[in-house]
Amino acid sequence: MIKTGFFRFKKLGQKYLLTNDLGDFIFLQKKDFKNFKEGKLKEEASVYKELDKKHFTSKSWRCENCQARLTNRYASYRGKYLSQGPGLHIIVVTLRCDHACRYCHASSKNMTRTDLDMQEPTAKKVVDMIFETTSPFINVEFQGGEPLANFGIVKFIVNRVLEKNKKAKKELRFSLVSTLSLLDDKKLNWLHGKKISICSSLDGPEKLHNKNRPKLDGKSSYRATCQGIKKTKKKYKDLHYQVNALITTTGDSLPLWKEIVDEYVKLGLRDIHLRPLNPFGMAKGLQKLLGYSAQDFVTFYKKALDYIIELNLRGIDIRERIAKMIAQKAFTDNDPNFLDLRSPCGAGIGQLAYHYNGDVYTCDEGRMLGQMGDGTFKLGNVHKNTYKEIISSEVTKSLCLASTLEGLTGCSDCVYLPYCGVCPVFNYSEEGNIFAQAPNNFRCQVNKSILDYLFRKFETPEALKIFKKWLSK
Amino acid sequence: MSSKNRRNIKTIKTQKQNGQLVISLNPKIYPLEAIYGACYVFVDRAYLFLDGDPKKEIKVFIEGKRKLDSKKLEELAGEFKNELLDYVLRTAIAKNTKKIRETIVEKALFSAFPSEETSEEEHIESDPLGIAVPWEEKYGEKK
Amino acid sequence: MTIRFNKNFYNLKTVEKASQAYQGLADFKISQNKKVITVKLENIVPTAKRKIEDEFCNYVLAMMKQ
Repeated sequence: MIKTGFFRFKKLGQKYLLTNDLGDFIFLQKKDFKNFKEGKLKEEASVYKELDKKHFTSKSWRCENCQARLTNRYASYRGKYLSQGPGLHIIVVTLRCDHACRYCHASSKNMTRTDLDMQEPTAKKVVDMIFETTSPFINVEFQGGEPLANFGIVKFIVNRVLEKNKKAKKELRFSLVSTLSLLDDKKLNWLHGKKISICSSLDGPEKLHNKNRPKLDGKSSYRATCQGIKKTKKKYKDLHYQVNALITTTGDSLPLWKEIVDEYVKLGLRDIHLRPLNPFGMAKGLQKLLGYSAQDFVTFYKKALDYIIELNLRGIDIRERIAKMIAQKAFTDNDPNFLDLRSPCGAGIGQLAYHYNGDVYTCDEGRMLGQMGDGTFKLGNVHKNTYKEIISSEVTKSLCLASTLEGLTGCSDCVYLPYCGVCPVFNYSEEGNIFAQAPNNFRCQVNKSILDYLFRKFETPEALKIFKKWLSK
Repeated sequence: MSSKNRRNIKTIKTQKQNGQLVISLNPKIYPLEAIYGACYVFVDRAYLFLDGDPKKEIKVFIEGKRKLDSKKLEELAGEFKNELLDYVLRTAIAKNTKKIRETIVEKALFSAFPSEETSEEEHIESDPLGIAVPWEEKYGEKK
Repeated sequence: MTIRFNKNFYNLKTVEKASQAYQGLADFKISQNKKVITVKLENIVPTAKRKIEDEFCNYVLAMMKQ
């Protein structure tokens, strides 16, 4: 009798999808699944050979190769997730902004409020704290409000980081998340000179973008952003950097899936990240106005992804970020380390978020909640607390526990465990508990439905070819 | 239909009661752990309640969150029973592979965490969550 | 409104925790005997009246799995 190794499973359409701890997956016909679980599969059968190759059989599950892959997986786990300090450091240099986005996560304030700018003494302390991380890699990400509104501090921080790194010798990366409406040639030259990658927000065609993201001066924010993207793409050509843009999906976005994708293609943006609205910042109070059900979002996602695949088949280069990440997890042993889709999540161990006043939070979502008046995920302040006090906070440990999927009800049995992640801050915001009841959880509903859809796509040769092409670039 | 399937069907009875379906389960075939698992999966679309005697017969009362006609209610119950069978299998897999899985994972974690001679400072930095700090050190009385 | 939970399938600790989560929607009075945990709901918020019993039972059952 051939026994099985450990696996998780679910019925997907007419087949059974199986996954294991290595992140390998296989689809089985009903009859093969029945024979496999009952130990009736013959070793000579091609389906047995495939199960064996992917470490689902009892024999292959105990073999050296499987052990080595699992060791590697945990070593990478430890290396990237657990034993190093945070690598991503999000710095909110100001809360001022010249936009009044309907869903603003940062709860941005108007441009006269210079009291909401990060000052040099705080910036200095932030940089000092960043360099206490044991991570060999540091990514400093500037956010706001609108970070270009406090450009002086952006420059101060970058220069100080570069200076300190002469001794620390860490692998450095800088990024700036901006509307680009305040981007002039002088700023752009400086950013280019320091090789700071740029990310903006583009919600879709002009009418939608301007409705979601009105400028305070009444002018078209779409035109300002598009102009900024074009200028930056041209300037950064020699660096081979891709300018990125993010979409925030509101209820108004849902019928415009084709127009939104077309907008990204028109601007030559190679990646689009179709993500749902988060319940943070102003979005929380406006959820009824802006929001939608998990099912509505998934319908939007499927249509947009199908269109993206169709464009790829026509030779147009555009990738959907979530699909690419899931494909990377499913087809390679190289996890993309996206902090929203990993176990445990990045809160406090993969990232820290620094507010303009020096408050330190577990993550950007925690900081947004803090801005809304709930300091649950605040770890301390750069002026009052040491690095050790910040990273050894009980809050971090709790979030680590609440996002380790193997220990979570619903997740531990789920076929998608190797590819998924939870956000305890989201759970807390929505359910008042960092541990969610998965079936009722919006994010779980969205993730499961998207994963169902993607794994079915992996069975489609045309779509699979496109996903693998995305991985090879 | 195999005799095994026939036996399984006799271990589940379904009857209608006040707009709900009552699924009666043989606890020898359907462990409570599996029943909890199946119920958990359904809490977003059904209202469920457990009663009965865990030694003789476990009753699952199931009703759709939305109003369902008789046919849809039967379908919902059918999906629940399928999920229940899946959970019986999951429970069995977890039980059968528990020991070996612990060994394999332990071995993998051990290999991924090489033992090193470290100074006290480095030790602190390699234990950022303070898991290795003894209870007495954290919470004991200061002398 | 009264709910009776069979102690073979539900435990007191879980019912108490669930009632804490629901405390904004009603007042909960919990008592028990050898076989049953009895939960009396009073002063139920009007908007919750229709569904609170079923949703609360679901919440408790989901917590039993947790």
